[in-house]
Amino acid sequence: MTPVAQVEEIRHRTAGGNAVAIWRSAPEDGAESRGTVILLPGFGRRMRHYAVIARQLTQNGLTVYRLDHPNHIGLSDGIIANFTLSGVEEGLRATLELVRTTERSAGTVIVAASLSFRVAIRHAVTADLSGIVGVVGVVNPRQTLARVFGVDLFDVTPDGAPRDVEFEGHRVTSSVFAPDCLDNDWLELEDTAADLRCVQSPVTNLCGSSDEWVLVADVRQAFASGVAKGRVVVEMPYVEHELAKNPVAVNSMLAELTRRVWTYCDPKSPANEMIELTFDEMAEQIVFERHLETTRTSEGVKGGREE
Amino acid sequence: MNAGGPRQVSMPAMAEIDRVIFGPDPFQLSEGEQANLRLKLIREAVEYHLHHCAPFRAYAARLHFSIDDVQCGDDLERIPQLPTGLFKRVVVSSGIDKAVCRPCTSSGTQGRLSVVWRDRCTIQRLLGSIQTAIAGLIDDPPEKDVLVVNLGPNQAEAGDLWFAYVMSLIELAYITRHMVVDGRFDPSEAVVAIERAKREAKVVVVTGPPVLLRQVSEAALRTKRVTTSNSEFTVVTAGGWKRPDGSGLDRQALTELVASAFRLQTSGRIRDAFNQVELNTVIFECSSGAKHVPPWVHVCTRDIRTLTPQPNDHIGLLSYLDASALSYPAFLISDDVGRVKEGRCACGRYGPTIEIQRRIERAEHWGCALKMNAFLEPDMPEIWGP
Repeated sequence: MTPVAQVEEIRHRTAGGNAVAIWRSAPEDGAESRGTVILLPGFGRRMRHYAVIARQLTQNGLTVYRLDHPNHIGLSDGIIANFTLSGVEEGLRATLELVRTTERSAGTVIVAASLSFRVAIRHAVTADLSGIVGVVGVVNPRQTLARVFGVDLFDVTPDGAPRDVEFEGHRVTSSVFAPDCLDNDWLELEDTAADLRCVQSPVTNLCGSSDEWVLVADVRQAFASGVAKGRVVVEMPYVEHELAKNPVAVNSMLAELTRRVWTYCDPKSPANEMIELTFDEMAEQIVFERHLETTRTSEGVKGGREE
Repeated sequence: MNAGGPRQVSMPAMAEIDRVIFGPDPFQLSEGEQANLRLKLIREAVEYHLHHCAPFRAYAARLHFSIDDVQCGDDLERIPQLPTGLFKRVVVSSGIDKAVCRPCTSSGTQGRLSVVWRDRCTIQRLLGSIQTAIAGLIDDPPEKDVLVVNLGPNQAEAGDLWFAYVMSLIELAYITRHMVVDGRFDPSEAVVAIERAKREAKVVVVTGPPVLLRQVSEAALRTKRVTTSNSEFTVVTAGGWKRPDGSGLDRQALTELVASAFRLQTSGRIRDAFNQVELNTVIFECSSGAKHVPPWVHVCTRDIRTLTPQPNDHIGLLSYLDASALSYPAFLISDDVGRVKEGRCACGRYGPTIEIQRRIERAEHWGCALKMNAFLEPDMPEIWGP
């Protein structure tokens, strides 16, 4: 048995007053951190679903902050019926503020999964970041959402009502989600490209060649607008959007992700030999974090120190 | 790098076999598609192990085998296979980094145990064969709707003990309560756990060896605690069909006992899963009770005395070519006697199925072992690898 990597549970308030549940993990044995990563879950995913990524990064010298989005499933305030992309950005902003006041390491990189990648790009327009790495990152939300739900969320039913949708048993209220998308230009590929033109940080997107929700061609198109600032598209053969279903692909993705984050956090530092997790380390961490979340949920207590 | 566009990097390390193992139900592919895939994946695996496992390469050379001999499905039988007894004597390896490998030990109680070293990728693929099958069995509900009651220990307590470890891995996919704690198993507590799970989850899966399932079913009937519930209830048996005293358990009788104890309407909800420590794939039963072989595994039978490959539907030694193992060549001649069937199963799916009848008998074993030893090295090194 290898020991699991512990997490520090934090609750931090957004500007709007929502409490965001954050898990912080740091390199073991008090080793100096090579940089800080903010890990943004995809839609319908919780921070504990990223147990393996967080452990891989901390084991390789990085400090990782993860959060459950506000108004979403997970341990943060709010319910998923009120989910918006602006709410995701609010959670990210609050977490970044916390990182700035807490961590001494120089570089901060956002690792954003799926739909959260769109939010990370928007936030990087104004925030000073060392880099962004997307994991099957969405660049064309209108098209991705249409493929996921099979209906256009931004259309109305024949009787004029907005189309509410369900994702893995969770209802998303279109009358809340859609206006936020339309009012804040979250939706179109062109909006993403426009944001990327203003982003000074380097950006990588790890894409799956078999991903039907995020087309590699769309990513290339969006990235073409900001080439001078360092844009990289990594294509992973045979990989679909639900990357976690293929853990062998995750192994390769983890190595690439770690290399990218190292480079962004500390470009001058020599690349260390990467530490790979064993299967048992991965398995124990997944089980430990699910148990931790279940315990918090069943306690009805949103645990952790208040910041 | 393309001029004027973003830098593009491709990651060639990912393999088609992982798309198949971790992808949608492979049994939905047509018989022809499965056969083509099987040939391609196994051919690639053989090439890999010929390159990375010198003793396997030498063994193949002694049999005058070349990968070019494998051009169609019928040629798969030419691929050299290892007696599973080899894993009792030496470490079979296509490259082992002990830092990322774990030894997997057979659950047998007699004689020397088999030890198989698996790396991360090899275990992940094994896990894939379990998760894909169970997800298909329960119709892939969201994780939050499923509770598993495992009549065995958790990962830590299972240690290197193969079947207990394999079944504990289900916890990676679903919330799981383990019923063996500190080596102790109480059937009545398991009944309580199952009843609680029925109240809490839409889908309840009970996994465990037949021997323990029998004890739990008897306890359920004795205590009369079982209630009706709207949750879907599925039982997966895995492990030996032997009682502690060595006598066999009757499959039909156990199915009836479980159905009666847990008030199941259909025995189709009780499935058996087959594996042995040297094989890297768990083979699950369908609703018609047939064990379907996925398209990354080829199974044939061999004559018990001569080891000559036999046509389908003939009783013989079950022999496997499993493309999913990376850390060792999982090309095996087992100690199990059975048969392979082809064609459309009553469940509607196509492809080969296997039927396991019995273990090889001692007298048969001697002849068989002599035949196999003739191909292996006289002075075998302790590590049969690079």
